Amino acid sequence: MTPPELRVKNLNVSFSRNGSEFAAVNGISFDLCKGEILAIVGESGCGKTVTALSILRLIPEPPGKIQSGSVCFNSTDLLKLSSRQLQDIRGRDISMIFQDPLTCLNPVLTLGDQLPEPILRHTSLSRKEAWEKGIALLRQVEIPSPTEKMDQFPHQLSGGMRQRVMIAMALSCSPRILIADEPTTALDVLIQAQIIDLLRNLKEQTGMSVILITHDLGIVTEIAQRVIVMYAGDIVEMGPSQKLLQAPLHPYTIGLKNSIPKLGQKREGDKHLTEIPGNVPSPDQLPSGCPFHPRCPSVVERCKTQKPALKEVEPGHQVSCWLHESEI
Amino acid sequence: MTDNLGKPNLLEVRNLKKHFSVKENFTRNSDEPIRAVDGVSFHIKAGKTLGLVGESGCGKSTAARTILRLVEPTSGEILFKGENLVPLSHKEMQPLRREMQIIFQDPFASLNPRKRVRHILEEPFEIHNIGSPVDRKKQVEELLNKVGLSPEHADRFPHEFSGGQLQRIGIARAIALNPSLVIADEPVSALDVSIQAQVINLLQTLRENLNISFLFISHDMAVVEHFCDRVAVMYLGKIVEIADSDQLYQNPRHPYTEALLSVIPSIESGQRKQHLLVKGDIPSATNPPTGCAFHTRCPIKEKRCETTVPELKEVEPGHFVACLLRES
Repeated sequence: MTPPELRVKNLNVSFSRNGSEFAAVNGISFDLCKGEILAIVGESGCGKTVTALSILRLIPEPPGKIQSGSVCFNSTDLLKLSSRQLQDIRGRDISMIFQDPLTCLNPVLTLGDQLPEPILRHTSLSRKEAWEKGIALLRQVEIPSPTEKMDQFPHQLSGGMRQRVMIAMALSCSPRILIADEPTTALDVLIQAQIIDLLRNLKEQTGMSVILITHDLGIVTEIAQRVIVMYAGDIVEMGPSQKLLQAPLHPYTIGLKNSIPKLGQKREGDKHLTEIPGNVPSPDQLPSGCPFHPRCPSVVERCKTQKPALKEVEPGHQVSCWLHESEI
Repeated sequence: MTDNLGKPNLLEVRNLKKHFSVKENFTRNSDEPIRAVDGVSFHIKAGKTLGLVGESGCGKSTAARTILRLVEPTSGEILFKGENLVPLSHKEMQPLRREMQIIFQDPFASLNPRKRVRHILEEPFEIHNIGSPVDRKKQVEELLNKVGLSPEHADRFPHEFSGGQLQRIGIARAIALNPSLVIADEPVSALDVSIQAQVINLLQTLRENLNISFLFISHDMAVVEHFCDRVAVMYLGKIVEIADSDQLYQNPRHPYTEALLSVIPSIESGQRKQHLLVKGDIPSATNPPTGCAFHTRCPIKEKRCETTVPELKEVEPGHFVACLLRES
């Protein structure tokens, strides 16, 4: 078996607020294989973005702090590098795109001013060559008339176009890993579909690995090979995406899947949606035992006091729930 | 449109237009206005729900606000219980506002952060001079119960609640005066998936118990199908297709509706659907394309679409489409 492209081990991230410290990510471990799209799903506050940011050490410190763990890439631990060494990796080997492309592009610079920036930083190309490369990148992400676009400012582009520019910038040094944090959430449905198609095609062309953060289970089935479901800073379920979403095991994943209205559901007489009662717990007052137990429909006494560990139930499919403990 | 079910129209909108003028420079208005809503007609029967779907910028929110005269219409008629609202003064509108209420997308922004929930919910009664202070206190408690909160919540401030709970307060405020029409402008878009289902179920229960008609605005086709009896699809300020929800989802006629439906991923099948590829972005409403506004992105367009503006035509009883190629 080929070694994984990226191995996150026992990652603990905490934040401090008003003098008290609470954990945002609770010792999670996962591998990213070569050439795969790995999705991390969960609701807001579950720690998915914090996980992604921690990989490149982009967590603001303070209030955040990476307490322990390791992120192995190329047999080095990214968490132990100096910030200068890390800068060589960011944008060259691992790059990132964000939810809101408008706040990520510099509004006072034209695309031609900012697009070649990572190329100039990481390669020995000249300014002119970097400019040409920038145009080629815009063409690769299917932006019409790329040469003219180089002289435009971000506000002159639509949301979908801006996200394409962000993707072009992220791909400019042919990274081995792309971390995409909710890349389609701010976009309209038709544009979402375009960006998803684009990401899939680019992944196939370049062979890079992708970590996709999203709250949309639909996108996961469309594009990801494997999926991690997070809840309150923990991984509750992890496995191949098709199998996991067709037959989820953790009550939280089941609840998430059922709470999404499906086309034709009403015609079949299903008038009410299945809901998960209650709210996502705030990270500074997590319940004891399994963090999902106050909302869980199949809760048993043991869940209230003991926290289940992530256990493999089938090859490649792991779940942390007492209900599935016996099946091992 | 004739009334074939024998129920009176609660709301009827005829050829509604809202054009915003844009400043060309500091002194002069541009000759070309933004045609946010450009000749929209529809009706809602008592107790029924109309869904309004479309991408951002298509004018669905402007249409909603114009109906309540939160934005003044440029032209057209808004008939509420047979009475035209457009010529009424603000004073004359006031008693009618009891009957028509709105729920906004962002519950954090739509509730006054400096007021306690009790105050927020008592305000509608104060404005319309209903009940004594003692009655009002009781009413507030009843309202909180109706939306699934408890009377203790009345003395808290908005920041003490989660997004889902705040949206429940927004809903409580909207139903406080027993309105007959509630306009819900993307009421679940800002909420997490598990909370979305809770809020949709709540709205459904209220609709059944209180016989409220809804104008439900959303960009999420699956949510709209679940909640609405009839659905209108908007594109660049115009309705391109309107039909009963079963009819529209099973037998869409307009290529834009088809595209919107094709990009909804199905989690059940776990299979990737073929996206109907719609290229490009929604055009600017200042300078809409000639002929059919959708022709620049349409996968099946013909030459005549570029010049002839399609009219909304009835293709089957109650099913109207504005497309030259699909009207027969």
